[in-house]
Amino acid sequence: MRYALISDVHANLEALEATLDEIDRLGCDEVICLGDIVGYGADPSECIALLRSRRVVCLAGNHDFAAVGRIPTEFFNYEARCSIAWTRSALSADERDFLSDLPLTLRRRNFMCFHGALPRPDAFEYILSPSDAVLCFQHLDARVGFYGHTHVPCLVREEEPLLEPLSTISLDEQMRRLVNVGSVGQPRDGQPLACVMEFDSTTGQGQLHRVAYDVGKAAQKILAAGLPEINAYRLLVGR
Amino acid sequence: MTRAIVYYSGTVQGVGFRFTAVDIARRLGRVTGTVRNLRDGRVELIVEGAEPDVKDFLSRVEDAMRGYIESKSVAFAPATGEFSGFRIIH
Repeated sequence: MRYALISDVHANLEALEATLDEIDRLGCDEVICLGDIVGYGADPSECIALLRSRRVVCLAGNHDFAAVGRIPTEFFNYEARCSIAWTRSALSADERDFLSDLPLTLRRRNFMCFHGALPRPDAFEYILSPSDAVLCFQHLDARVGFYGHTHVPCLVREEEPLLEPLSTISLDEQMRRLVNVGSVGQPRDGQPLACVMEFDSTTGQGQLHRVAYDVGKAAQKILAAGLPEINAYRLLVGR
Repeated sequence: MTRAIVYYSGTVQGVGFRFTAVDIARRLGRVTGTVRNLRDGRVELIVEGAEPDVKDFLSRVEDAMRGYIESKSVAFAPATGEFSGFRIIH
């Protein structure tokens, strides 16, 4: 099976459309979204509709649960809190139900998926250091764990758990991997390009693809919607 | 230039302590030294650099490993310049 793994769409319709076009080109069998469909961007309803129409398997992120009141926003930064308030008012009852029912983890063959970190996927913690990664490996019941949340793609090898830049992965028999698939709608690694991780669960080979999209249009929509200006400007620089 | 020799006790082995120290040293880029697991369960960390950089490095390591470190002993000495980078030793 060939999978496409995406994360952190953050209501960026232009980035999501371009990413799904790239996934069509790659010819993957299943698409999995690792959470944070909404928040920051101007098209939460459109992104939910597109993901549902494409039968993308979706997991919950902290912004998704915050938008429906399942978790508090007191630990969100100011711009994120403003964005959540805006998103709440933009969602329909059906869309709120959809977000509220999203699962926290997913298991497929030799890999598992979650938004932030293990052992508590509902706490939406971050893997920011080797010690965070080691704790995650201790609770990873699979050869590879795909996650998002930080918006920075990276690869962590169990035998030497440093957070390294991600381009390709190649699973061997012994060692396990954590793979941050980056962000579709708000990448923060300095490249204003959407991220999609292609993974073949049979061969264990994977590759990160970067996708150009109409950043200016997405940014203009954010400004026109009255969302925090920083949400628009950071798209232009990928930070 | 100064040298710090630090011994950390607690749940400090098998929790990514050494790799976290390497990661932080690489990001800072201004300190050199070594880190290793001791047989008695402690971690030994030797770091050299300008005093503010050494203190900044130790502060970041201890912040990242908060919850694992129960106690530490620290000694400062003049730097020797013997290290060319920061790495794990065995």
